[in-house]
Amino acid sequence: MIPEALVEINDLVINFYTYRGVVKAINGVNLEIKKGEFFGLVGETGCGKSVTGSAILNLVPNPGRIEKGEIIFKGKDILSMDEDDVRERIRGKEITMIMQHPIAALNPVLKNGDQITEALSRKMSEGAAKKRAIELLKEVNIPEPEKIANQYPHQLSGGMAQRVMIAMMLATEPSLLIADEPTTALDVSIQAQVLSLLQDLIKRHKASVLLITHDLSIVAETCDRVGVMYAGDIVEVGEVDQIINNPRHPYTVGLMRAIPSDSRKELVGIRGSVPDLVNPPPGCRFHPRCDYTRDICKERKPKTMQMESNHTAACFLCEGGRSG
Amino acid sequence: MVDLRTTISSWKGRHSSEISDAKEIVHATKKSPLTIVGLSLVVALVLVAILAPYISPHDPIAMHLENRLASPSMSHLLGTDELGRDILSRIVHGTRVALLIMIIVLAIDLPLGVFLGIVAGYFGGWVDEIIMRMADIFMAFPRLILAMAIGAALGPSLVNTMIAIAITMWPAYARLARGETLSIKERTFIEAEKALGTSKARIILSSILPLCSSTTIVRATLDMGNVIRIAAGMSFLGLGAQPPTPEWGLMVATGRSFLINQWWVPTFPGFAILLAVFGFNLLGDGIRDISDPHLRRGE
Repeated sequence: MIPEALVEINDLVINFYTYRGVVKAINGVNLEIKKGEFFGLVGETGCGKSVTGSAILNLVPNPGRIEKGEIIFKGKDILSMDEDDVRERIRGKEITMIMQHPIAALNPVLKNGDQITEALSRKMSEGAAKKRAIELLKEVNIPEPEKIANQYPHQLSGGMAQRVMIAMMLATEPSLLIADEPTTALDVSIQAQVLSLLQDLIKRHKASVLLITHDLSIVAETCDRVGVMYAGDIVEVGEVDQIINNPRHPYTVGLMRAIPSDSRKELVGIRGSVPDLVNPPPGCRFHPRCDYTRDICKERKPKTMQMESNHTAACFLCEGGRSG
Repeated sequence: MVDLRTTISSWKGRHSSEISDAKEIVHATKKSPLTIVGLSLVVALVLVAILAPYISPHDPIAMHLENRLASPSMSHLLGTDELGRDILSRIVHGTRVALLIMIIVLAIDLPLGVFLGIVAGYFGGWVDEIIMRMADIFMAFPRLILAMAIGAALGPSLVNTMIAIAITMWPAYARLARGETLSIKERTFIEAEKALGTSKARIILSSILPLCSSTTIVRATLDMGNVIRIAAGMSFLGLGAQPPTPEWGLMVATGRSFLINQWWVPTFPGFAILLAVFGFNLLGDGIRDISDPHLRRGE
């Protein structure tokens, strides 16, 4: 049985109105996250991963504006919902978010335990919430949960703080957890612990995860499916081994070649740099950096092509496949 | 016995961070002699105010015209004024008036200013414009002159003095709270709280208010001396407390015609104002230094 879609993003366009001009940050993104899956969204800094993530909560930071598109969550369009409805029904109930810098994401004037009780306060009494908070801290493998619950965030290490953050977000029992670079600020050994913890918990709570990262190795280890973003476009989506072993979009191919491995002596970077999104290149946004540019790439935006089952890429090179 | 001991030790365990904070504050205070001087003066003032009816040797209002303008002696330590009232008793009772004005003014100003400032900073846009332009209007005039103008318009009385001072002081707190709010609301944990669906009111109350409170409270302690000074100034000019209220500024005002021959009549109330303002300012400076981690680390 094919799992149902939990979130469906259709033709999302987001612009940022800055003094320099209009930054066309998200350029018609289509994406689907299925129930119970671990979906990775990879791309360079500034390609629009995080903005896509915050759009799902309808919390695009200023001066960003959602111009177009819909985000269907459990059959309802979040973007056309009332702001109070989104706050009451979606945020902190159905969808929550883990931030990049765990210590900064915890309220400095609240004790760790109280952060979690606060998240639970809409659901249960104070006493019950306190008990549940300790249980949750135990669940995220925090030693001496009672002691940690009584300390303040600045007394924690980064890894501990991220666990508290995860416990806080789990407290709300979301069906989608958006993890925005959850391990970037952590040591490599702690990274692995936090990721496997996240995987465990997701399985146990039967939730989906949208993991936003720039680190392909994290994606390879943890995710079921991957979307690759470049300059506001989703260029390729597929299952992890399809993307890693058989990348079809030239950008993904370039990313793979830039990862060090035993079989490769030399690292090959992608030439050029990320385009200025105030004046993005016409046609395919990747064409100035692409090794296979043809005339058509400079004129038209490529459609998303179906390559094999569950694998799509947006490139004219892939035109042999079926148009999807 | 054992029970009590375990209760105490578990209380210590639960509040370990508060206990160490308190120790640090005591330690920092000990290092600053001026803060201790300020603190002692303020504590003394508060005690005098509380105990005024018990420690004042005479009735502050009772007139003894046969004994007017008596020089300091054993029965009247600081002498008597032009109506034969004991000056020490009047000063002691004046402490109550001064502290009461200060407390009421700050109790109005601090919440009002902080609330308006947070609202302006958090919501921005036209709300911010309206509140802050109003604040600008009040800040465009020197505080004492504006307070005098408002006090004169409302009519001379103690209550109107408090209202006048309160109206001139809230903009300082509003500006401070607004500035803090602007930086706090961009921080990651506010984003995290929004992602959790926390309502605006709750974000303001549980996250922004506690983080604004330290700076605004420090500002308030620095203002305590000012309030006493302005209130005394207004009473001196006849806009504040009315006779026979034992108010320091008023006492200086009525006593100033006796300055040459009966120097004690205006001088001792003047000293009282000096000591009170001095004490509160020293304490305010001390609290500012202690609450600033940068200054503390520098020692």
